[in-house]
Amino acid sequence: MASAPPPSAAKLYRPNQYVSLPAELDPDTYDTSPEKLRAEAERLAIRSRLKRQYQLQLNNPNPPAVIENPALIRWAFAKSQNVYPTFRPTPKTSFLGAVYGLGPLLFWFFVLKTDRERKEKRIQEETMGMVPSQALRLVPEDHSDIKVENFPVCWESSQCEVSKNRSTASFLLLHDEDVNTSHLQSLSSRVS
Amino acid sequence: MSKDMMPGPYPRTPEERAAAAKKYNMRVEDYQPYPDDGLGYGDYPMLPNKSQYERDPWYQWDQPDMRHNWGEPMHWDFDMYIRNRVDTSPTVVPWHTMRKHFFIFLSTMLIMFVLGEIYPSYRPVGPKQYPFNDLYLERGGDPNKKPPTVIHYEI
Repeated sequence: MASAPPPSAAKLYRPNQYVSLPAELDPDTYDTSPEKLRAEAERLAIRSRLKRQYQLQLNNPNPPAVIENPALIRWAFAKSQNVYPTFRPTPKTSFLGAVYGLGPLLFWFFVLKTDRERKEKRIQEETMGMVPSQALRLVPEDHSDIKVENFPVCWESSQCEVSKNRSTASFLLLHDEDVNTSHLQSLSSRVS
Repeated sequence: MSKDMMPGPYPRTPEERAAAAKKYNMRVEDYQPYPDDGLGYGDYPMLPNKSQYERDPWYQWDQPDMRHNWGEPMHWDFDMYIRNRVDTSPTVVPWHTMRKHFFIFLSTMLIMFVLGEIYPSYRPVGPKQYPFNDLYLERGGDPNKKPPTVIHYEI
């Protein structure tokens, strides 16, 4: 049995909703049957009629203030006011409504709840059997209240009271330690 | 514009289809409404999903920037297919080939990054050494007292 002929270039291209088939690969381009010619002639007649209507209005010596485009009006109407009258509850539309309406809500409920429970579990594990004062000591030190007079910004060392002969090195302090105790931040507000 | 010129419900009989095609300035053979799923399309025609980029740039359109003629039926997603937005022009390389190459590259890079996170490799490091006696003054030490001497070197 002979093998099948090689797939056509159009089949190899596989157009989808993101790209369309190029005209060179489309067999319709090379189709010169009378039906196609008649169809093209009818389309041309419709197009010419519309163009004539438009050009008459456009080149009118007393043109109307706004030349309405009935296609645009119909498009806007169809997208805004024709949706509700033509909507019908079917299994498909009900399912889609539930998915888009309730899906994100339930998703975020689940995510936030799980995150909070995980944090709570970590806190309970770390502070098992501790008195509140002990637990509070686990909260990492907050260096944001480092006094300004300890690192003055001065160009002349004679102007500075402290650390006269060196520049400040306190920026080295602002690196956190590697221990991650951020989940204990909420302890101070919970205990007090 | 009168009510019968506006879009309406899905056409059920052939006469309704012919009337709808005439209303939308289309041939009866060309007119194809969206399937009647109850999604709200009504009798609006289903035009091919091609963006305005694909239309002939050299033809004298009534609206050249939109590449649209007066009275011509507009695609349901016309505002998506304008030339500033989605472009469905045919590409030089087929879409499935581009997609395959992209995902091969992306997955390779992601796998390598994940492996680098699980098995990090770096030069040996030691603990950080702070100057000025371990920053005695910046950590709030008393300036009047002598700080404990901290020496990080060995000679």
